[in-house]
Amino acid sequence: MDLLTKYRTAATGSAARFFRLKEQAVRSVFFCTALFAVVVISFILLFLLRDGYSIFETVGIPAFLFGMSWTPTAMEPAYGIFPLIVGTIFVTFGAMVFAVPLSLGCAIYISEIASPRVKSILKPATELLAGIPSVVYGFFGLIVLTTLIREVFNLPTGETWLAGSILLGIMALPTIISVSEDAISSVPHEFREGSLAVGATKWETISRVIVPAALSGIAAAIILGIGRAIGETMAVLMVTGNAAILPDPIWNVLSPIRTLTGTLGIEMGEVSIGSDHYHALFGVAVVLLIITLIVNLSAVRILNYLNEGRTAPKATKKSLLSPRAADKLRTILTYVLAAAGVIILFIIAPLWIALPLIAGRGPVVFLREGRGSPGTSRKRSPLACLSRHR
Amino acid sequence: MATHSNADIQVSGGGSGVGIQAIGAKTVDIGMSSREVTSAEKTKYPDFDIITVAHDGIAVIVNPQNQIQYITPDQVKNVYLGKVTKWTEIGGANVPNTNNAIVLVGRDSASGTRSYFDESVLLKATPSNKMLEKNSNGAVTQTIAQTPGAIGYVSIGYVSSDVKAVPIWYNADKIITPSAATVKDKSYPLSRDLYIITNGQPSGLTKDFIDYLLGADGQKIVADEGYVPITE
Repeated sequence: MDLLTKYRTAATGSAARFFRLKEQAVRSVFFCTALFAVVVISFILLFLLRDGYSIFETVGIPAFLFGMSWTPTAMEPAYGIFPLIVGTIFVTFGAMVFAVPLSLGCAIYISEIASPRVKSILKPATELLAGIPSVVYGFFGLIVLTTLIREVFNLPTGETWLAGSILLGIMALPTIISVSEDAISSVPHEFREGSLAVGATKWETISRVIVPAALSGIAAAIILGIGRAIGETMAVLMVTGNAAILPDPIWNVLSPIRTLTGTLGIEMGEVSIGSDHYHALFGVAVVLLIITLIVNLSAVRILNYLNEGRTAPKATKKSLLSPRAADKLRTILTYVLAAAGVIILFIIAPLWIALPLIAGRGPVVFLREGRGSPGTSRKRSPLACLSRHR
Repeated sequence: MATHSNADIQVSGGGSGVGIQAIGAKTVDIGMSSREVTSAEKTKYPDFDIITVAHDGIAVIVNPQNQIQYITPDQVKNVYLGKVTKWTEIGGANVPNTNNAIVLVGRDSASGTRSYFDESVLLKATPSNKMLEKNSNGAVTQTIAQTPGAIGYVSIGYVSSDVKAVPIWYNADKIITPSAATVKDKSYPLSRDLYIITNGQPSGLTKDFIDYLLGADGQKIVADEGYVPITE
C-alpha cells in the first residue's frame, strides 16, 4: 500500500492531520521556489517599461523602431534604432553562419568518430572555451582579430561586422557543441548498429540516421547559441566599431556596425539620469528583451514542429500555432498572471495575511488545473517518437 | 591613505553621469565629473557645490606612421563631419603603404570628452555617422596606436609614445602643441576643467580630503598624472 493511500485511509486523528500539513508545507515551498523565476522576469519587464515608456510617448513607436539615425547628443536629438536592430540581427546571423557548421562538425566528431583518448582531451577543451570571460574575448578580438582582418582585406580599419560575427561565433561554439554532442550521443546505439547492419557506410549512418534522430536536440543547441550571441555586450562593443549605420551595400561584411547591446554597454555609464537619452536607452533594453522573447517563443514553435513532423502524417495542415505550442503558451501566460496576482496581493495586503493565503491556496489551485487540462504537453525525446513511428 | 592612516577613501568609476547621479542621490560623499553639470541636473539637485580640481586638455592624435606635421581647427572639423575623407586632402599628411583613407575614432555619445569636443571643435554639429565609437580614452589611444590611418581625440593625460599628438596650426607664427604647459598658460584652445562635487558645503573628512586635493600634495599628483594643476 503506497504512502498516499495510507494517509488517506486514516481520515481522522492528529497524526493524519500532521502528515497532511507537512505535505502541504513542502508543496508550498517548492511552489514558491518555482515561482521565483517568473516573478523576477515580471519585475524586470515592469521596471524596464516604467523607465522606457516615456520615449515611446515622446518619439512615437514607429519613429523609434524604424528611424534611421541614432544621434542622442546632437542639436536635434534623433532616437531611431533601426540600424541597431539590423546590426544585432546581422551580427547574430553571421555568428551562426560561422558557428553552426563548425560546432556540428565538432560535435559529430567528438561523439561518433573520436577515439576515447582524443575525446577525453577534446571535451574538456571545448568546455574550457565556455569558461573564458567575454571581456577577455573582446580584448583578444581588439588586439589580434581586427588587426588580422585589416591586413588580410587591406582595409583602413579591421573593426567590422565580420570581426563581431567571428568573435560571437567563437563564443557560441562551446554552447552549441556540448548540447549537440549530448543530443547525438543519446541516440540509442541500436540505430547505429541497425544502419551499419543493412550496409550503410559510416558517413551515411551519421548523415541519414543519427543526425536526423538528434535533430531536435541540435536545434535546441543552435537556439541556445543564438541566445548567447544576441545578448553578448562587451566583446561586441570592442570589435564592431560601433558606428550606427546600415552596411552599404547591405551585404558588406567589412563595414563597421553597431548592436543594441553595444549601445547599452557604451552609453549607459555616462548618460545624464532622467534625460530623454536615458529613457531612450531603456527603450532599447525593452526592444532587446522583446527580441529575446520572440527568439525563445519561435524556438518552442520550431521544436514542436520538429517533434510533430515525425509523428503526424504528411497530409495534416499545420495551423499557425500547433496545439502543443498553444498549450505551452497558455501555461506560461497562466504563470505570469499568477505572478502578477501574487505581487498585487503582497502590495494590498500585509505580509502576514498574504503569505499564508498563497501558501495555502496556491499549490492546490495549480495542481488541480494541471491535472485537469487536456493534452498537456509532455517533453518527449526524439527517439521515443521514432520508435512509436516504427 | 598612506599619509593619513585614519582616513579610509574608497574610489569607484563609471563615468561623469554616474558621478553626478551618485552625489545627487547622496550615496557617496564626493562625486567626480569631467563634464559640466547640465542645467537639468542643477535643477534636480540644487545643493551641488562644484569645485574645479584640475585642468585638462583634449589632444588630437594620429598614428605615428602618419607624416602630418600640424592641423588647423577647420580641418579637424571637416574631417569629423565627414567632408574630408582622405589624408591626401590635408597638407603634409600622408600614411605610407595605405590608400590614405581617414579612419575616424571618437567616443560614445554620452562621454564628457566627446560632448566637449563636439561643442568646441565641431561647433555643436553632429559628427559623421561613420565615426567608430569607443567607450574610454584608453580604448581610443589603443585604436589609434594600431590603425595607421586613424585620427582621434583624447585627454592629454592619455597621450603616450604610441601615438602622435598633432599641434594645432593657426598661422605660421601660432602653432600650439598640446601639453600640460600650453594648457596651463591657456594658449592651447581645447582645454576643460575637471570637477569634484559635494552636496552643500563639505565638512569633516570630506573637507579635509578636498583641502588635500587642492593643496600642494594633491596638485603634485595631478601634475604627475599628466594633467594641469590649478595652482602654480
